[in-house]
Amino acid sequence: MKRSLLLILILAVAALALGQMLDPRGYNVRVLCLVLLAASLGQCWNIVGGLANQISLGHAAFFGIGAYTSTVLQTLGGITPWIGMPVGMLFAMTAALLLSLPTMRLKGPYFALATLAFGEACRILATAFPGITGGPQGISVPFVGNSWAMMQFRGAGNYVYLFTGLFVVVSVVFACLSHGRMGYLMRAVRENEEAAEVAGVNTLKVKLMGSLISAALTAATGTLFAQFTFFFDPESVFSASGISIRAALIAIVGGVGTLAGPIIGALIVVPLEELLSTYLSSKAAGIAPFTFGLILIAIVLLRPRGLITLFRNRRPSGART
Amino acid sequence: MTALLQTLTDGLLIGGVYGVIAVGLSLVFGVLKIVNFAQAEFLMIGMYVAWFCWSYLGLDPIFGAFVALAAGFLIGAACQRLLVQHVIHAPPVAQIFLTVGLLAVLENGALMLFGSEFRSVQTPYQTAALEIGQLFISMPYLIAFVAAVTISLGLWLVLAHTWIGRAIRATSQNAQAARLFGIDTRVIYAIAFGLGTGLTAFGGGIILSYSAVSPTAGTQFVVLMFTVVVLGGLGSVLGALVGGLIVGVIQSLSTLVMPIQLQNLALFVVFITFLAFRPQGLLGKGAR
Amino acid sequence: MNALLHADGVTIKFGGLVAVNNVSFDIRPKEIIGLIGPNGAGKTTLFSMLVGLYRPTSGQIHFDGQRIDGKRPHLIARRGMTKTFQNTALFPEMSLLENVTTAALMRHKLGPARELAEQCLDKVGLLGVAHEDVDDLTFPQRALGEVARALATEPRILLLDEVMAALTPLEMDSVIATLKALRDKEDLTLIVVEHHMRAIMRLSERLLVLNFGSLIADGTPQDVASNPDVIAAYLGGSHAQHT
Repeated sequence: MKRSLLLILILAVAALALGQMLDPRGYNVRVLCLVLLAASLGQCWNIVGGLANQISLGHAAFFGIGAYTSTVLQTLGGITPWIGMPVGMLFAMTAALLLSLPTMRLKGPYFALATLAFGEACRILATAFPGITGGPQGISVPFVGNSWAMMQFRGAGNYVYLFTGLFVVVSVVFACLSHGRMGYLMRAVRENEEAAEVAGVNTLKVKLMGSLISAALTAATGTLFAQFTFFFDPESVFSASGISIRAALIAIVGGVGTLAGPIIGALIVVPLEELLSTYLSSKAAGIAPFTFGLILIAIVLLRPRGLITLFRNRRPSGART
Repeated sequence: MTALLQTLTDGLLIGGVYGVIAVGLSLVFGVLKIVNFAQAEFLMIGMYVAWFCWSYLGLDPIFGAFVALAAGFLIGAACQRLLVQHVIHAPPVAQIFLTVGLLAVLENGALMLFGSEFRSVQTPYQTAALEIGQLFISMPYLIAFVAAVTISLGLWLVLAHTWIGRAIRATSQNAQAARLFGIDTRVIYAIAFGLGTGLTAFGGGIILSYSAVSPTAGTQFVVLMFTVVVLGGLGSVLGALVGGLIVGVIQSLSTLVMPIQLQNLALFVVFITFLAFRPQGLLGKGAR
Repeated sequence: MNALLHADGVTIKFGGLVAVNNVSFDIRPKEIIGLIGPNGAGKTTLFSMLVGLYRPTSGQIHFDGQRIDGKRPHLIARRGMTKTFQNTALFPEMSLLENVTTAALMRHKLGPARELAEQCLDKVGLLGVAHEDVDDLTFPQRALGEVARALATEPRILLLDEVMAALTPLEMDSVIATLKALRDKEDLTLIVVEHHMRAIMRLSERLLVLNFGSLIADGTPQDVASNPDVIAAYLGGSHAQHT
């Protein structure tokens, strides 16, 4: 556990230092923010996908709930996202709870399907109530200039603090869940649910906990995303391929179930995305997800059984302490 | 009352098509025991093939659909042989992410090749309708439905009365026994997969007369397809066809009580309910 | 009734197949019961129902006076009944000690759980390999490891499913002695499934015999050994199936 916390501290310091050194209104700072955001998203997915082996393809639902809740509260009531964020997290947890009731006993692909459908359902809901959400046209975060109170800034520089903080929180939660008592229980559930039950582990409760925590943190990430990009629509925040699959991809590429996996994944995925869209701007649309689809296929083909051992090979950092 | 009858009719006509679109998914699961997350992309492929046949060859989409069937079959069989075959015996995690990766590749490949704009066709019968009493039966719907029924019959004939069909059914029931009888299951897997994707592509072709195609056309059908298949029972061909009709009717009827954008929401509720309480669907074989 | 475990007409059907058919028995505290029968007789299925992995189609199971059929396994484990798995089901990516500790966490915090885990491993003689990965253990070690893990739940009834499958006669004697000692010292009740007749005859005070899902005999090893139905079941006489 101490090793994990140390690692998180080092990454945080590195991110903050980098943020200080770079031009606060420059392009590179933006990329740094995107990396931290992506890493946080991946880490959220890592909690259920990596620790509990529940393959979710619907994390976009929680992401979008977070983004929309905090933004709508701002547009309709002028309420600061610092309040909007926990409200969004609460909504996301409720949604996760409702979703898990019928799906908790589902296995593999069926669970994935249900989560996928749930993400889609959320997208439909967002488009269907334009009065509140702005509908398919999207919604904007009211611009007030530099303001910590309203969680927004002109240049990308200040966002580095915010996103680093997010990443630290999510990673610390991950570390807590993968060590100690919870770590044992989650690993048992992941490796053999039946045997775990018989050995006295309340598997449903363990899975539910992971699910609720992951949903809440994903919503928080959604809120921060909204505050960063100022504008979004249902297509982008509830996107199966853009959010849900991307979250899984980031965690998998970097090493599923490991603490550092998502940051490694983000450091690979985000710059690659930026590179592809910069140099292939005429055919930019689609080249990034296309490439990542290929990467995903390649990973699976190179180690089809290995994907599971990729899941399990690296024990959650320091699980032996 | 007429409104009800009208929506019911529309629902059945569309539902018949949904059945054909989804039957491929059921077939793939029944034979290969794999949930193909990329299945809906073959709908999109079928639509593009049929569109290009119309655009360059002047072929009516219904005939283009047959070309789409062939194209879908070939591409699908190739995907199976080159990619899916390697994860047949791998953990579900690997299968999920392989087909998910394929989904991303196909959808964005289309985006890169064809751009994001919507393309549609014009057919002479596009706005025509048959009037039976108070009912308006839209021609494109009707023709698509007839095509769907025809191809379903074709599928039934193939599965029930040809050697290939029997081999496919044997493999889906007991692959090892099938091998002992000299059936090369790898070939059967490729054929069954290709047949499944081909049928979905055919479905894309026949809906072209009333739906526009774009790279994201497939993803809009993902939830719908899976709802049909889960309702009817994953692995059951008849179930998919019946499920399609039911889904079409549900979708249609739900427009009577809720705004049109929410019609798929009703489907989602149905989908989740069945997954939770009756995963084997109405007619299917084990879904866990 | 002073039965610790009471099964009443327990039946389970999978589709058209009746795997366990109207089985009733009583088990008293500290008994060692052998559960035998030809392959496919329904022994593992019966165990699965007792620990809550399956819900009986009909019939009831009472543990310490309370009904437990259909309850979830972790609740039944909490009440004091657990089982080992036939082909071993240790958590593959953990060490043996971690496996046993997981089970101990049901009733203890992490520190005491680890101590209890070490004690359980010691009781079955596996303390020396506690830190080995499960993959590096031999099959007999894994089978005993399962026993240790089950013991870590501090059960009152322990269901053992073929833990002696790959043992030499000497090892078997040792395990039999260990199990008897556990029963004596720990207030444990054992139901044991084994195919080695010698082992089961020596270990059990009472035998339950299953055939095609039905209970065809319930008595002392001597009685059961001379029971014509039992002989027919094993040797396949022209005896009609009991319903």
